[in-house]
Amino acid sequence: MTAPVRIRRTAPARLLPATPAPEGITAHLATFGERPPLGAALIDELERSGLAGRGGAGFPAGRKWRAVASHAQRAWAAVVVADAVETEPASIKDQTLLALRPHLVLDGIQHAVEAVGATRAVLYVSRANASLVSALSAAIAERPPGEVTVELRAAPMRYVAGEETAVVNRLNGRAARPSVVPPRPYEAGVDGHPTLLHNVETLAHTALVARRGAAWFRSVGTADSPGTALVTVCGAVGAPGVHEVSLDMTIGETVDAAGGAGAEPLAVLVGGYFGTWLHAAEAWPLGLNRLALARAGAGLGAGVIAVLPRSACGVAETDRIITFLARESAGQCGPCHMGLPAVSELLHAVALGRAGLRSVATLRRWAGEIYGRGACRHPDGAVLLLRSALAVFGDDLERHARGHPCGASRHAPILPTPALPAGWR
Amino acid sequence: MVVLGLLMSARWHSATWPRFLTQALHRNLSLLTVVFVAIHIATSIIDPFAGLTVKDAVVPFTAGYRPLWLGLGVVAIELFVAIVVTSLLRRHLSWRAWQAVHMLAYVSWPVAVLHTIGTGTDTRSAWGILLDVVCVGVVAVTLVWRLGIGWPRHAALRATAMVVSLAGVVALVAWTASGPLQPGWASAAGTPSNLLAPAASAAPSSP
Amino acid sequence: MRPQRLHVDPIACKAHGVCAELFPERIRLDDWGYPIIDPIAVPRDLMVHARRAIAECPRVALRLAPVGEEGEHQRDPA
Repeated sequence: MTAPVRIRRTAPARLLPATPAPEGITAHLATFGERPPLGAALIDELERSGLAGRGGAGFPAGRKWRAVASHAQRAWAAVVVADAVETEPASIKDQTLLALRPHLVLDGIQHAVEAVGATRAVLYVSRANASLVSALSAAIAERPPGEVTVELRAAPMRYVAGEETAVVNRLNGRAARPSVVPPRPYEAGVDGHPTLLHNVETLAHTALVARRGAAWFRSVGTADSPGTALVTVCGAVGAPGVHEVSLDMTIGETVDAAGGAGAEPLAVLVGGYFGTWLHAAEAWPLGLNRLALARAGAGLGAGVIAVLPRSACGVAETDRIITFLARESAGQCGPCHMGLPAVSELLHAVALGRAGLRSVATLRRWAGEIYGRGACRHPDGAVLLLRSALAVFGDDLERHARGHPCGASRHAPILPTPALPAGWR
Repeated sequence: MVVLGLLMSARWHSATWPRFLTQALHRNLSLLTVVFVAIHIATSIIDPFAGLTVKDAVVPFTAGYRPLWLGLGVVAIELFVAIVVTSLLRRHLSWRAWQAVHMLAYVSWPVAVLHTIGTGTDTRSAWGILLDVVCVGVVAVTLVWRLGIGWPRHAALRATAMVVSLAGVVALVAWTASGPLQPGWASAAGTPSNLLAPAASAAPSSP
Repeated sequence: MRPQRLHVDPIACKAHGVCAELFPERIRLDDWGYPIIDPIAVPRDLMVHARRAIAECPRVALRLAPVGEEGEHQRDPA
């Protein structure tokens, strides 16, 4: 994959408005027109569009809708849940979308309700952003009559609270902790009903597909990753923030659209804190589409693209992130609840030059042992991040381990690792 | 039984004593206990000494012989049976339900001890006292040891439990010494008068 | 019958470790006492040990399931 010349390309603005001003219902209807009542026919259109989930898993949307619809026929009515619990600290795309174009998301929810035969719709948003919650409440009140009223529910500020089964558990009145699957939410979720759970950005895309069709959706992007996506570009870039990109763009083009990186960046974190570090030089020409990223061992994830400058230290950043992830374990499964803090402590010791190279071998062994042994993917994400750090920052890590922590580790943190308030409800 | 259960919760093991051994013993001995207690109940009913009936063994505190102390035995064994049955049906219960019943062991056992000391006609004998001391002693020591594992997590709770347990043992000893070990206990405990030894052979006393 | 393998419910498991003692052919303990289960099938001659481990688990956290039925996230990409 080569793109030796960097082309500054602006992606077509589909989801985001030209000016960052919140759109009420009137402006929304003026821009997009009325919502077409497609019902279940939208499922075919979605399958043709190839839209994949934009919450982190990347599961094909049409297939999920079809699964829920078929379960709803056999069982009881379904429930639609719009997941806006954006607990990835570096990501602000979902909040931004909800603040600017709430009605696009609400349109998507109604389409889902009609397509899968739901009688209930929930918009699940983190309780942290009080102003957003009240703005959403106002937007819901503006909706035309005849729609299923969207219930606004608040989520606790926990990293894993956005996980599918954690969402279902909280909406069922229990703590927002993941559970073991089966049953998957599309089989039995909220109140035992088949539950369609989608990230809010995905639902916004479905609203556009409903109006403009699958062919239009596929007119940008690649064959396996059509359409646009929202990414949060942060770190050492000129204009950090939320950008809409078409999935045929490269990471380098995306960073350019965000004001460009400073001189000679060191590395890029792609996806989120459960994502992957890449060498900057390797990342720049890499397409954002699923295949290209997968070949590099990465994924779009929560849409975070964080640029690490050469003046910062990848080992220190990873240390902080893994400490955060360990702290945010639901504490239910031994390998996560015991393993992640152990990894965090050992990595910290290595970062400070207090533990030797044998510790790096232990970290690798633990990574292999922890993977896949939790009820959810939280420990997996931490392990993948760790492994990518060992690959990308391996030389630096060795220097740290030999007792020479780099000066860069004293750099102010590039990536936020907030201490979230306690509570699982 | 209680000791083995405490060992299991502490996940104790050694190079020559694996955890599954504690577990298997805990289960097999509890089943054996059911058998022995069944024999104990059966012989108590068959033996004409106390005039006990099957009803007395099932409905607590209704016997004609030391109703309170005998009744405690009925309570203890019924709790024990509940524990055994829920454990046999463990695969069909939620763990929480099973756990709730299993914790009744901490009620069943002390009640059984009180039953033994209060009802027993051999309580004052040397081997009777020795048996009581050993049983209560071993459980008390193991319980305090188990509470100490993982200290200082939940320190307040553990300390309270230890104090309560040790206070319980002290209270038990004090009560035993002043009650069941004293002459005249048999009548105070509700032994029918026709079964009591002639008054002349016991030192005069009143509890 | 389809080949079966052992599964542990990671939320129910509380690291009693009895399973690893009873079925070391498929179960070993990690550094924190939790079981690492070899996902390969349990042959018929070892099935008695698998069933014993399942029966003895104090938390009823073990079960048998057909090979290949597990969730995708079990596959380590490394």
